[in-house]
Amino acid sequence: MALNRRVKIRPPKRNLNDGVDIEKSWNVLSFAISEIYNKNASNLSFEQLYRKCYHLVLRKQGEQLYNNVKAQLRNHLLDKRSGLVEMIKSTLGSSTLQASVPFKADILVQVNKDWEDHCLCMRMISDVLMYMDRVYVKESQLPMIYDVGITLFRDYVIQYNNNEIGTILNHILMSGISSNRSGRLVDKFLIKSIIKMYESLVGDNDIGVNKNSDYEENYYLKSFEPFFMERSFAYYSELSNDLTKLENGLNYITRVNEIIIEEENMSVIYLPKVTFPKLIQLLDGILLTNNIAKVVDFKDQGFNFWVLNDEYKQLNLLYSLVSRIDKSYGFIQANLKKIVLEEGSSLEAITKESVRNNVNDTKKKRGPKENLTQYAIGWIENVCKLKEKFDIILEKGFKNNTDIQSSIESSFVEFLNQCPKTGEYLSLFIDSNIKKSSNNKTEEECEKVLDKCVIVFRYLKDKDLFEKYFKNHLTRRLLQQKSMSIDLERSMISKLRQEVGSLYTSKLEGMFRDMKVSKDLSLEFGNDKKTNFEANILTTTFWPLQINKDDDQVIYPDALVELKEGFEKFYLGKHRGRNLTWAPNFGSVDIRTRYKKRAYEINMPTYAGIIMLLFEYHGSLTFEEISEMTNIPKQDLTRHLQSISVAPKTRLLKKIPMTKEINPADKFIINENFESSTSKFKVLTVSLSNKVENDNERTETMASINNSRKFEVDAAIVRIMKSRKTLSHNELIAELIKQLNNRFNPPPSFIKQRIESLLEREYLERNSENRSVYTYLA
Amino acid sequence: MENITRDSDPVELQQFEALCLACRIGDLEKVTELVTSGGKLNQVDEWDYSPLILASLCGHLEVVTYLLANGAICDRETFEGERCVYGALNDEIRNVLLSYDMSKAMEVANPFVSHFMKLSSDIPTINNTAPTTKDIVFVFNSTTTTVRYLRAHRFVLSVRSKYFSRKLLEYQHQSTIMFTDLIPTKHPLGYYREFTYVVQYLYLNLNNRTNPKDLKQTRLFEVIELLELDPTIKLAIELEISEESNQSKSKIRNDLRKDIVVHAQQQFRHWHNDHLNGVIKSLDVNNDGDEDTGIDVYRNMLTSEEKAQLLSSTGFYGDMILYFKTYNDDADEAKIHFYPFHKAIILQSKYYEILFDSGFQESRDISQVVDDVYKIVDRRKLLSNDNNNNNNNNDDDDDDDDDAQPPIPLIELNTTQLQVFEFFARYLYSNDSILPIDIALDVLYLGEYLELAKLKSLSSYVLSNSFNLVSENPEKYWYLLEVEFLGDVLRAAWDTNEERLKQYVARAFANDLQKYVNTSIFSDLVAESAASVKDRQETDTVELIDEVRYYLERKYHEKDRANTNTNRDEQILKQGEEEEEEEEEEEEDIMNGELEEHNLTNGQLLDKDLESLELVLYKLGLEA
Repeated sequence: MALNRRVKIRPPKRNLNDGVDIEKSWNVLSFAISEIYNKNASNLSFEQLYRKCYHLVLRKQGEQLYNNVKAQLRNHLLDKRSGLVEMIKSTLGSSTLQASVPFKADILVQVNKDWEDHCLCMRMISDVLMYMDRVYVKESQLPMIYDVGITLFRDYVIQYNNNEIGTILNHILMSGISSNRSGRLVDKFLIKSIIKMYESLVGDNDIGVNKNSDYEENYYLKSFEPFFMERSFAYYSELSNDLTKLENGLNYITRVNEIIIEEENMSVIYLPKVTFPKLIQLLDGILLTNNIAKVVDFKDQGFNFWVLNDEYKQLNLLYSLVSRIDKSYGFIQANLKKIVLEEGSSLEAITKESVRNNVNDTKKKRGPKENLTQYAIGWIENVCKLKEKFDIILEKGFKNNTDIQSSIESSFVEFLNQCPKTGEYLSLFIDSNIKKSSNNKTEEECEKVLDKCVIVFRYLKDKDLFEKYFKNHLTRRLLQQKSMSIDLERSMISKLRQEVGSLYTSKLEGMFRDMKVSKDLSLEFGNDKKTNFEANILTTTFWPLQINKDDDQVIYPDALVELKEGFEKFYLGKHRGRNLTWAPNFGSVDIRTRYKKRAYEINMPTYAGIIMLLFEYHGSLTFEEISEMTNIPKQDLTRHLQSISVAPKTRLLKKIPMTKEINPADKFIINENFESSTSKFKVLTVSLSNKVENDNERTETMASINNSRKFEVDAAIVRIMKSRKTLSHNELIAELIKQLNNRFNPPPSFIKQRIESLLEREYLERNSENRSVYTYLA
Repeated sequence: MENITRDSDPVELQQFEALCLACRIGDLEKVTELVTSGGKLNQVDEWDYSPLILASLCGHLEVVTYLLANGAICDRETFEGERCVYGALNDEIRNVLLSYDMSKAMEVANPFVSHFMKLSSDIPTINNTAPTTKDIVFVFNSTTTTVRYLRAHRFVLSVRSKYFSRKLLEYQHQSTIMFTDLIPTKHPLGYYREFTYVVQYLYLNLNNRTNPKDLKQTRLFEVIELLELDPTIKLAIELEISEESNQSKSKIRNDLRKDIVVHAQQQFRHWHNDHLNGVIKSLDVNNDGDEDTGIDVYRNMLTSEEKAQLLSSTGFYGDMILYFKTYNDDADEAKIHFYPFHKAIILQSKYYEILFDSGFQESRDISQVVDDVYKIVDRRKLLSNDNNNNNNNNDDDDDDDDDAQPPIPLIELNTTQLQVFEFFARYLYSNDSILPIDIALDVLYLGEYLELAKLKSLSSYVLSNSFNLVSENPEKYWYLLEVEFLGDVLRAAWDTNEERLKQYVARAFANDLQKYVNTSIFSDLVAESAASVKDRQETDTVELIDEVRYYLERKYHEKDRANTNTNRDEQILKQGEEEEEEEEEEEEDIMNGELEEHNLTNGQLLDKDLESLELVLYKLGLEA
């Protein structure tokens, strides 16, 4: 009775299937596998096959089944392989495995077809053997039967017999790719599908024990990619050699650009993503990194050529190519710098040449100083032009790349500061552009020129030097009313202010303020006295004027004394406690006088006026007498006498003897025969316009600059120390350089010297423990 | 979540407390045991701790993962859920918690629900070419050229909606329903979203991405009323529309969803019971003992008319036939039983999914019945007797057969028991998991064959709780603890790799070792267990022996312990209850100084059992 019950509860299938013939089950499955390969699967019953597999595995026959299936697959694949080899041989003829295998699409098509069939069949086989995969394979940690099929395909079709078919396929693929590169039409999608197959071929060799390898190289990575890279390397190396030989940079970069674009497009189509960066690296390396430097050296159509000839398109292309290999554009930067420096230093010669030509053209004789001034102006003008050129190159060729921009700028800084006279030249250039009637530019044009000047100014290191010159030149322009317009001057100042801050320009602005105030005052005074008297009240600290003690000793004619005293009274009545010092050497007077033919109204410097007024009472006077009667400093006296007795157009006095030089014994009488074409004219003073300094003047300027730098550094040190109290030497220097950056770059030795001096004067003291630390003494 | 301390019976309370304790200490084995025996996962104790919170708080990742995988709910919109995430011991646990949202928990807990959700969405567009199981299409046309379609399963609609159970009868011979036939309207397209939304509920797709507030509510309720639905669906939709905060909705929503699922299962169960009995077709055959006599023979046992007839049973709308063989006691006569079935339902098993998709004979018929325009199964083609002619054009192979086959899939179920089929059908159609123990082993193998993990674990669970059955009804279930039966169970456990069953058998052996140890079946089992290790070394142990030893030691050790026996142990050890009680009394005496004598008793028992195991091994030549 117990037995009966058991039969009922036991799975009867097992009883009935105890006699399952393992051999027979396997035969059924084996037949099914061949039928699947023969594409007759739709006649097979999935249920039946699954059940066979299920029982075999349940009966612990998993291993046997697994190995049998593997063996059958292997045999099948070996058959397939023989077929393929036959087919390949008949297609390729005897040329098998020679270096160059032609691209035979038929072979690829056949391989691809076999592969796709195999995959389809493997899917069906693994469906049938699903239970084996789920139980036996999992338990034994073997690869799933589908993966086994894939690996077998690699081992017994592609790689079999020393990678026979694989090698041929590689060559065919490669020749297809090469054809494609040289522009012949090839079925890219066929190549793609074979490469996809390659990628799928993974697994341990002939399915040994799977040693928990998470990542296995697929056949593509193992076999084709190295081959492909090697061939590509050879191909592109040769190509780049050929291209280099042509020595044509334009041709080179255009071709390289085309090649890269083509290769990128192609590889997207048929190569896996992993290869793409490698290939691009290869291309960039061969075509760009190795050869880009050569492009500069090509005389025709090289980098230099493009820069000098403003070939923006080529530069732009080069830029985009270089961006592939170097995002900081070191190559372009270095070469641009070289060109800027070369161009910069060649400006000297160019400018000299143009000045010489100019001189020759006009056939005018000019003093060497004047020529130098012409040169200075021309030089700055050329600098501006150069800068403009590179600005456009930067914009159109290099997409305003900031790295390249700063490289260009630093190159400009370098060559501009190589020349110590740049500051002076710049100021002269500004002077020449801003002066009345110096050229026929409109204000707007001038503004543009000034903008460029500001850029040059920005690159100057010794800004205080420039300031000094600029102040001098400005003073002359203001006092002699030579400026084209005050607005223009003001805008120049505001440009400088924007550039370096208001501290730098405060004195310059003060000068303008003085001018304005003076004008108002003069007007008011003039209204009072009914005279036309203009006085410029100049604050001494703003203006770069030497107060000459001798000027005070000047004896004025009565007419002027009255005016002078009247104004002093008027001014001091308005502003108490101020000190007025007269500077007659900057002023001028209008004198109306009558010569033989007609009366003239002559504008002349104050000193000249004083001299002329002497002749109201005296018929003839010697130099000594004049000097005695006027107390005008001898140097000035000489100069003014020259301008009214030697200068051909304004010979108001007759000098005896008639030489160019003024000697103490010379006699002067009124030139009765004086004639002038106009009734109003002006006596020009010799050498009072703004010109290049000679060496002596320069030494003087430098000395005064050095002097003022001493004060500036001292002041800065004290300022810093006052706020910080204690600072180490290095910190102090760093801070100092930061503060003075807008004016000049003091050399460290200079700073040290100033610190020593401050230590001596007990503004600072060294820390007793650490000698390199300073403390501020209040 | 319910608080278990209120209205709950003491047994349940005890079980829940045991579960909470296991979650605290991270005893995964115990947790597994308690959960599979029906422990309530989503309840809280008197301090509002749920088992999940405890496990997460105490940092037992594997327990947390297990609980979540088995339906514990961690919904951040509820207090418990937020507390759970907030209290997680480490980031790893927190991430696991966050990865399971509410909906996932529902699906995992209930493969039935997730299958229906999948069914509802299998073909969203008309361009999809994959074969479908849907067999009816609703057409929403408009005055312009725009037309929209909604595909569905007739049987799902008629089970879930009383309206459709009547209405669809009118469409026996049509595969399209104009929406205007349901609701006369000038703008059927205007109902598309509302109708689709409601149909999603029929498919238990309760996490519909459509926000019902975007729908036209009058139309929505018009559709709901029309279809005569389970009232909870209406409540659930009303809840979604209401202005309540998401947080307060959350709790009610969960309850309603549970109700909807339960109701759906009931509907399917009733409908299935009503239909199944009437439609079976059984034929006698000789048992030729050849297992390969399969589809080719059985296919031809029914005429086309008979097959069509099976599938045309009113209101069932089957689209395939499932058959299996049964044998009489002498196993010389067999019967073949044919049942109509639904592909949509049987696809719950991965096995059938592949079977219908793998390009073998069985998948041949599928594409023939698909309506090319609407990409649905055309029941007219399925049932038509003229199919032979049509098919011959497509399928040259069939020309060789005298009797060409109608395109009705005829699939075998790998069982020889009517009871097993019935359970299988009940389980697939209505998620009914009441499994009688006498077919549990067969169901275990069926689950293994069909790759239905839930069936396997269900059988394991039923089998490993046999102790209770035997003690409750020894007359009926005496055989469950006989060595012959336990041997079968153990072999089945090995075949299907059911760890819990292996443990169960080892424990059963250990509980009453002397009864089994000297039987030949026991020594056979030991030998088989030893043989399962490949390339056996002398030092290797035998798995079965190890496990029995483990349970022996546990048994005697637990006896030694004071009154800390858990509920479960009492159950296991009920057989020796009287003896134990004596011992427990003795234990109190131990305190009074009789320690030695007692220990000897238990130790001796253990030694005796261990010795007899050694003897078995010795006889088999496995250990010195």
